[in-house]
Amino acid sequence: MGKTVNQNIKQRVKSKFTEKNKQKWIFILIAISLFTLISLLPNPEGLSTTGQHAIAVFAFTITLWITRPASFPMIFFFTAVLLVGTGVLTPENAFQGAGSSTIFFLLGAIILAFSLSKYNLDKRVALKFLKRFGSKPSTFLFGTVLISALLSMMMPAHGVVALLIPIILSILRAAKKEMIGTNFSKAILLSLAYGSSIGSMGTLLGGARNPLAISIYYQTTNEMVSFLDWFIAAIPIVLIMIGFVYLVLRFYYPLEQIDMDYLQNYLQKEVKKMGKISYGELKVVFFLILAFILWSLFGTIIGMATVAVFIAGLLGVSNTLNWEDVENKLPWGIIFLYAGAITLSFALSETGASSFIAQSLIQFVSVNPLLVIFVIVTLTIFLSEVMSNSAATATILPITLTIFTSLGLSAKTGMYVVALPSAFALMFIIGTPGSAMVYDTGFLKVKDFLKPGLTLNLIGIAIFMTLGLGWWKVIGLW
Amino acid sequence: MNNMQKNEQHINKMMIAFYQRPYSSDSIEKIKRLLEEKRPEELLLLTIAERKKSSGTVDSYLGRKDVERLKHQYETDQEIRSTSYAEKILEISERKNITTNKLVKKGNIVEVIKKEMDDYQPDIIVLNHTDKSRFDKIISGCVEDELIERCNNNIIVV
Repeated sequence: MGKTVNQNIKQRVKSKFTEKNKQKWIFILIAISLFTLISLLPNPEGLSTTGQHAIAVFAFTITLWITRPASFPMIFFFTAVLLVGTGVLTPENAFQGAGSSTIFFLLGAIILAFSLSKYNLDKRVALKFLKRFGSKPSTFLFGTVLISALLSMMMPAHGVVALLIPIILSILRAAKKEMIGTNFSKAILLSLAYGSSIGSMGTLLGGARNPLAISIYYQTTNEMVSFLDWFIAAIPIVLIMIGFVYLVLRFYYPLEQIDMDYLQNYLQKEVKKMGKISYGELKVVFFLILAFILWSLFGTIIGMATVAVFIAGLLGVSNTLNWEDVENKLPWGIIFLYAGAITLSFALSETGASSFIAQSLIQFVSVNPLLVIFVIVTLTIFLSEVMSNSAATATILPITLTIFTSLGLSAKTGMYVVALPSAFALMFIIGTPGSAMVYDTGFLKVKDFLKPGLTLNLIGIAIFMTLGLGWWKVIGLW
Repeated sequence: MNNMQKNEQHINKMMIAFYQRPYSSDSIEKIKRLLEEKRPEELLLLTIAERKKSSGTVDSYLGRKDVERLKHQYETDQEIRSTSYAEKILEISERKNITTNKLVKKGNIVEVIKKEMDDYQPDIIVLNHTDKSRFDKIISGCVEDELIERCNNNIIVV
């Protein structure tokens, strides 16, 4: 009898496993079918055979990026193999993405972020900041949006969420009443995901898609974009959106009256526990300031990556960070995700595939520049919801740059209208790692992301079309 | 959601599981009534701190050490919260003089409950209705549904 029950369970587990596996293989099969179909279609006029193969690999990769039968980095391996196999790229070119300057910029920026967390400088800033805002639930919410956004201008957005989650969970646990299901807990946790996404638009450090966009822009135009250029172009949008994130969260989650004394006490205790600022923290502050200065002054001359690895080297030489710290924390997944994105966009540009797609699209959309920008911003935002925002940038940007150049618009504006809106993956938990992390706390449901996320996406489109374009005109971008 | 046959007789062992969310005041009232009706001789309060599965969305972006730290954080938070959820029931069972044992486990919630069902052999298992939407069930599964599907034991979802 017991044996039969066990066998039944085993069979059920097996059937569930097979079901999941089946779904995975269906996605892979769809991707392969698309690749084969596009490769076998008659070669259209204006597109080379290698261009057609590049589009086939592009369709294959996008399908896998959206359906995710394997993790993002793994998908890169297939993309590279297909690009070489179909003769689109030489092996050297197919794998050069992994050794590109963008990847080394990311490595340097990530290592700099490690030094912040090694000495708890990020935690100190977050705690002190939150303590200042902890007098009322509404001010605390504003504080969490603001600190998530500000820290995301200095370190990767997902790193900020990973840093703040333990602090917020401890605060929610310390409350006198059960916080699960309260609007306060929902709004605060969502503010981490949303605030960090919005803040990551501000500099090249928050979202790796920003240096990726600069690299694609450079590949296409041979023009460099400096750290300061980016900051100036993005900061007004970031500031306005911080306000909107706060308002939208308050609208969807009216905050309950909560006794904030416990929260103040908790933060007070934690700040006290941290003691005085250490020598290590001071060293990190120095290197952080030095990095910002060097990026702003010499970024376009010697390259952002050179500055990033120089700072990483200094952190090592000064014993601020050792290789073990880096080895234990390095997210290899990101390296290969971006390597894949860089390689794919290189293949599309090199083979003329992106110009072909751009020309074909221009025939369908009106040549009204505002309409074109509206379509691109909207497409980027909603594509970022279903695939990694870097993947969305790598997919749309090469085509956008060609469209902008064809229409006589500034390619630099084209870069911003793709790179910045790709941060707006706010509706679904798969949109960004930050959203997945706050969902994993167990305080939120899938539907909790939908309405505020969609509202912010729509507000974002309106902001890009008005303030964004207006500001970029003022600073002479177009 | 109730696959237990109506049975007013008193029972030997009852197990109540605590995970993810607290029992609502309504659910606690139902548990209270159940304890009065069934008068179990032994009660096991099983608290489970969930160990999160690897997620491609998060794991690709964080280093190994940070992923572990974050998972540990979730687990600790769940353990503390779920243990506090069990306290209320412990008070009730003590008032009713029921021999009560507490057990805290870590791991996959369904697997942990399933294993304790096999080891402890309770007559009735009480689970919390986690009130998940279809979306949430697709994304993160549903403990109650999965256990009802996989087990032949008397399960009551309150």
